[in-house]
Parts: sequence; C-alpha cells; structure tokens
Amino acid sequence: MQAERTRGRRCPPWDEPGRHRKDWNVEFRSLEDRGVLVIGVSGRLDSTTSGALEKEVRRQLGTGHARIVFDLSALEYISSAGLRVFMMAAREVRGKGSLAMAGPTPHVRQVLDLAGVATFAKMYDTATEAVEALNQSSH
Amino acid sequence: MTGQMFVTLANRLPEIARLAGLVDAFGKAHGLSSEVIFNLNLSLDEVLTNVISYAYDDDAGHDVIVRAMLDGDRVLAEVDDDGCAFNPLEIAPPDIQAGLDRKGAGGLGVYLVRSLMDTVEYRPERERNVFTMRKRHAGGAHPGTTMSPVG
Repeated sequence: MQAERTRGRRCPPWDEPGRHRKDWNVEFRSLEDRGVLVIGVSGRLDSTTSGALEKEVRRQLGTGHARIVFDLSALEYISSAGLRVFMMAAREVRGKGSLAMAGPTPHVRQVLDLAGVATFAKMYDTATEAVEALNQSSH
Repeated sequence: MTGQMFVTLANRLPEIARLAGLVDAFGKAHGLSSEVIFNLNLSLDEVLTNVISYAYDDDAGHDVIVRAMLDGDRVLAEVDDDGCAFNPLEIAPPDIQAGLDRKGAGGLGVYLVRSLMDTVEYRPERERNVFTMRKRHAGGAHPGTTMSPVG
C-alpha cells in the first residue's frame, strides 16, 4: 500500500533492497567440501555488509556451484538485508541444486525462522552435517 | 548510565553499527537480556535502514534522533527523523509461507519489527516522523529520570 506523502516531496519506495557499502564488520570464508560450497559468514550481516556477501555469492554461482551451505556459526547478527542475500542464492540454485543453513546462534535462528527461511533452505546444526546431507541428496 | 539514551545519528548506514554498540552498552547496563538487546538492535536497524535509504531525496546531511528508555517493565525505543512523511505500518506484510514465490521484495524489515516488538506506533509530528517501539523486558532495574546525551 502506498503511504501518505504529506509534505509533497518525492518519496522513494520504502523497504526495498538498500544501498550497499562494504565495510569490515563482516568476514566471509568460502571453501569446497566434497563438491559442496561452504560459505562461512562471521560478524554483522546488515545493510552495509550484505552487498559484499551478495557479490561473493554471485561470484561463486558464476563458477557453477549450485550446492551451497551457509555456515552461520560465527554470525553474530543478521537483518533483512542479509536475509535477502539468502533468498537470492536460493532462487539462483532452484531447480539445479540446493541451499542449507548451518549452526545459527539462537538469536540468528529466531530471525531465520520469522522470515521463513526454512521454506527454501534446510537447517542443520553444523556445516559438516549440512555437507553430508547435500551430498546424499544429490546421489 | 541513566535509564535513558539519546543518540543523534547522521543519515548514513554505517551509523547503525555504531548505534548497535551504544544500545548494547545501554541494555547491559540495565540488565536487559541478550535476546531483548538483539531484538531492539534489529528493530532499530530495520527502521533506520529504511529512513536513511529512502526518506531523503537530497544529498544533504540530516540528523536522525534515537531515544531509548526504560518504561516500567518495558523498554521503549524511538526513531525521530525529518525525512518525507511515511507510515511504514501501512505496508502489507509479506507472505512468509510463500517462500521464494512471495511477491515483491518489500516489507520484510517492517515485518520483523512488528514480530519482535510488542507494540509499534508511527506518528507525524511537526514535520518529523516519530516511530516508537516497545518491548517487555525480563530484567531492568530503574526507570529513567534524566536525559543522557551520547553520540
């Protein structure tokens, strides 16, 4: 629904993907384990850092990876901007691979659950479990 | 630290991470649980990200004011900005169960705020937008009495 614009100024749309600015509050570590790409994300995943993760995910997708595990065991914080990167990744691998989340802390898990991440990615306690599950499902 | 926090932010996204540190210190000083602090920070982040990203159509610097205080058994947080008037509570919530097939990308941030906070309220006030959120907290000792400017 379009909201009221009482001051007559041009009002940009609310809550669309934000501008991205890379900073150093987040770190990514990508490795391949038995054909599955594991992307470890640590620190804060928010509107200033999600663009850097999106860039990394797109780069990896471009190399042909379609089975991806996000290792969230060291992720301290996530906002909707970070969730959108997971949704983007899930859309990209849909029909040709799969996506899994591993080891989120309780606070992060609560946000993932609220956002319905389980509707497009399976949850595992550890990255090792997730890799094994994705390997088995591909055979 | 008193029971109130008052922070003036520039309308730049990196300011949100700075605020998170201040909210964390405020929450710990008043015995708020890590869950309440996390939810408070996430809700402020979502509101501020939208304000900073979309409320201004110029390149000028603007002050965005954030207040937090203990209000009985609740913690209250307010975002006060001079951007274009907009009530985020009019946004339709996303269809979470539709998963990847949900229509549009919008609404997720506001949906999280509504889910994590007990009450949310928007009011235009003297050409400013004031967005108020309240959340019941388990701990928290003394209600605020004085204003403590920081940031």
